[in-house]
Amino acid sequence: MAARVLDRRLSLALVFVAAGAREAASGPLPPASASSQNVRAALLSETSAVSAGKPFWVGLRLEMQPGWHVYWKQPGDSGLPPRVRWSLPAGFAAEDLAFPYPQRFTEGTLATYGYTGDVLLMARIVPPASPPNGPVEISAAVSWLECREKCIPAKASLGLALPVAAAPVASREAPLFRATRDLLPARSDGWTFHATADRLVLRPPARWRAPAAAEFFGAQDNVIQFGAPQRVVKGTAGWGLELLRDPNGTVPATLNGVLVARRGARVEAIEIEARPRKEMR
Amino acid sequence: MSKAFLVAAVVACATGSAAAQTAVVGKAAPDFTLTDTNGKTHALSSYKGRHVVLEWVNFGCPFVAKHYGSANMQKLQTAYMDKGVVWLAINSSAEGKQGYYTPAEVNALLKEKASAPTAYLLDTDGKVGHLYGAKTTPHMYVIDPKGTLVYAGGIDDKPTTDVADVAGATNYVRAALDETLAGKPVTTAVSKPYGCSVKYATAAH
Repeated sequence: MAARVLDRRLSLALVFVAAGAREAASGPLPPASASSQNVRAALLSETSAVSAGKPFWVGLRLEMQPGWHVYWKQPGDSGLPPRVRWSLPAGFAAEDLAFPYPQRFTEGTLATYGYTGDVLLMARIVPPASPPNGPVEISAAVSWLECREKCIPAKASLGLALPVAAAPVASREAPLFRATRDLLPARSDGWTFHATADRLVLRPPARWRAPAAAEFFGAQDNVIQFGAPQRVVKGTAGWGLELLRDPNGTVPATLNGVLVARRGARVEAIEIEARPRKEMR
Repeated sequence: MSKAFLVAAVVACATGSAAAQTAVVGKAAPDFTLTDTNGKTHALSSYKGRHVVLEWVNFGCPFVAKHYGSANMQKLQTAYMDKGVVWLAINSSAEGKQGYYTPAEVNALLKEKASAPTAYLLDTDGKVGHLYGAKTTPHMYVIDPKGTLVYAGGIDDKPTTDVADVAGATNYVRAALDETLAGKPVTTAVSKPYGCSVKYATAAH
């Protein structure tokens, strides 16, 4: 009898400590995965232990049924990007989701940007410098739009509890994180563009090698026509990519987006903020 | 489906082209004539001298459901029709695609939703949708009494399917109508429309 009373007090104390450690969230930790009609969402961590002062990566994995897609950070002519609202212990901070380069879905004159199959949207979590109380509970309120011919909004609450250790330990999902890093666009400087009445022409920096094929995914609203064909222009000015402007759009201060260039089997995905320049002849 | 048929279908789709978008904010709104769910034809030009709202609609779309389920759209319709604004709901869903309804089905749905726009127009071949560059449902346009397009874009600034987001959103249509009814220029004349894609007919299938 005495032992049971002691156990109950101990368990109450543990609940109290756990609640204090997870300030932003309330209630029990949600499961690590959940499924909508057509998508399985899972919260993954690249490390199976958290260490003080050592940033680590977590990710939202979306596995889609065939024919269904979810959207990029700029969905295009319609749709909505996946969103994550993090609940983290005190002292922890989450950076923005990192989006792998997307594909374009064209339907007539309209187009959207997104993913089919399986995608991991990664985010860097920065722990405090002082050792946190373990286990570290991370939860995410997630929403996305899954579409085939029609669209269905979906939500999930996901959670992970990670122990604290002196050093990070590669989790079982670490290979997926490594593979996804290869799909993240790399920053590139030196890109420029010029505007005409109805188009924007994107130009690379001097030493960039022209690819066999290229596609520009515009990140901004009301700038380019997402569904228009993109023509490569070649001449004395070198390689350029012609983008049709949104008829109701304005010329942006910088032209932002991701360029996906293909050279044989190799794909180069580049994050661009192109500066304006005068038309080249 | 045989390979030959598939190839022919792809070629037909590739060579068929939609009419170019000529609706540009600040310019004359392109004229059109469409038939409503009661068999009556409406020409946009016949409404010159009045403000006109064009509302691209698809009752099967969760974004449209957000604005109809919350009565947000119906309240807008009533409030501004009371001020003399002509409100034209337009459906560019092709037959067999999501959002397509027969005129009788539309009238029943309008009654059920207590929505009574000036007219609900059927643009089944998508010609008017393409003319206006309608991308989503909802996609909203405001035309002034001179026939100039003064607003094109989303209904508000909260691109979600959550009814909870209606109340706190900046409603671009209300703002544009209030300004243009007072003879003032529209501050936010263009915004990114949000919603489900318009389910246009594709060429020759």
